[in-house]
Amino acid sequence: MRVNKHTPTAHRPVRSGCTGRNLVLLKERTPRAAVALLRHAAGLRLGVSSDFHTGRLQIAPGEGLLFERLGCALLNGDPDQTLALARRHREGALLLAPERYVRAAELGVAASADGLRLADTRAAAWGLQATRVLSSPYQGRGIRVAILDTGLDLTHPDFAGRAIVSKSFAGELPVDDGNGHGTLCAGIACGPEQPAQAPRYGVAPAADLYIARVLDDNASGTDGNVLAGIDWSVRHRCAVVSMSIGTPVALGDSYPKVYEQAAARALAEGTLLIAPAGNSSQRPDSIEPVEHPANCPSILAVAAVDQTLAVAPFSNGGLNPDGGDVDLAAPGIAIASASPRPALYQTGSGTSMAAPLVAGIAALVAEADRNARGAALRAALLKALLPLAAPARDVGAGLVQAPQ
Amino acid sequence: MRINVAIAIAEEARDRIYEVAQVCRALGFAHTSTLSDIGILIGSAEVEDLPMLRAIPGVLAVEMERSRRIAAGS
Repeated sequence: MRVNKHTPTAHRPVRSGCTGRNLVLLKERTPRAAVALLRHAAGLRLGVSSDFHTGRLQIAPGEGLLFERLGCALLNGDPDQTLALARRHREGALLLAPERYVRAAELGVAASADGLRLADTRAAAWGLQATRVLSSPYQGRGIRVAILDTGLDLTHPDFAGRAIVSKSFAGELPVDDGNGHGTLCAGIACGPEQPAQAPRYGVAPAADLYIARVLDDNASGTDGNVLAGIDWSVRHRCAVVSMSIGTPVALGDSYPKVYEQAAARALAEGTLLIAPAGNSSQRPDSIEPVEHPANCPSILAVAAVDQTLAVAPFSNGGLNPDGGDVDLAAPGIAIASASPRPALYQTGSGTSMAAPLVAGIAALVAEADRNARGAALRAALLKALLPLAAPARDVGAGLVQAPQ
Repeated sequence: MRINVAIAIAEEARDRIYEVAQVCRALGFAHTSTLSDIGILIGSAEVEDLPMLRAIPGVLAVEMERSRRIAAGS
């Protein structure tokens, strides 16, 4: 499948330091007096903010704008006018200061030649910033989240004292994660608010974690394992199931009927299944269709975006009809999370990381609205997305957002 | 050749899942587990018997079991 090359969006150059304009704090009590002072002192023509109705602040040279409620003005004077104002500043008639560029440094936003780029901070992983998890009052309390994967390192310090119910459906293998993928996904969905030795990486720190080991240490399993894990999750009334499993499909392939039946039944019972769109694309040269089981209509298919909120190069697209759409997108590059001992922490990239992030946010939504279960939870999630510039084929209806 | 299969029970037959399972067994399905919350039977059958199993009233789909992995590259 060949698709036109992705066209990058236009980016402005980074700006820092002074803008060339000046701020002046005035003692004059009325707009009329302020206007008169600045015209007399420097020949500046002053407009008044209450006269303006647009949001854009275009001030022509030789002019200024008075913020009458603040008692200050923004001036775009030429050098002679600025010199005249500096003289009045020295005389104590007014306070003059240069206008500076500002940016949202607290969000871990880094200005680069490519424009804005989110980054991990000491406080939290970038994915939690982009999805507004940090400002959400919800933590998934009382909500059961099931992770169907390679298990979990049950001795990990970040999960100590946590309510965890687990069962292995992978033959004789214990739940203990001998691969790492399951711990990574469980961490993204439900990691603690304050990890032992890392910035926060988990979305729903208060959720009840249900670990169904359905894959072996090679991250491989069977339909029987996976379906049994889904059945167990439904029986235990899990509101959300995250399963980062993907089998490539071809263009024109339809969805598997058995999985769709399982997912539809789960939805009717109040359990929402979430799966990755798949990572077999190599954009811009090729885009592969959404993989099984995410291509089931009743399963939420999650694409991945990078730190600039552009679709990740490996993220598959909604190319097949009848359930093969991408439903929404979530952060999926350099996603920080937990790792089995001794490493304790790792980062991962993939739609496999995006899916549990959506699962964690689904738990927050489920806590926020006790009626949001099954199809209602799916609808609530899809209603509160941040629209992105990329096409729906790539990111569905947009970027997942935590309830505020 | 005997293969592992998953049988999805149709919505309207969900309250008769055990009866449907009985019919499947009578037609050669070796039943290993019933996932009653999602309406799925797990077991094995001869490849030649799949069309017959699919024709049983109450059976929505019969699919060969496949191995599954984490999404490649993740």
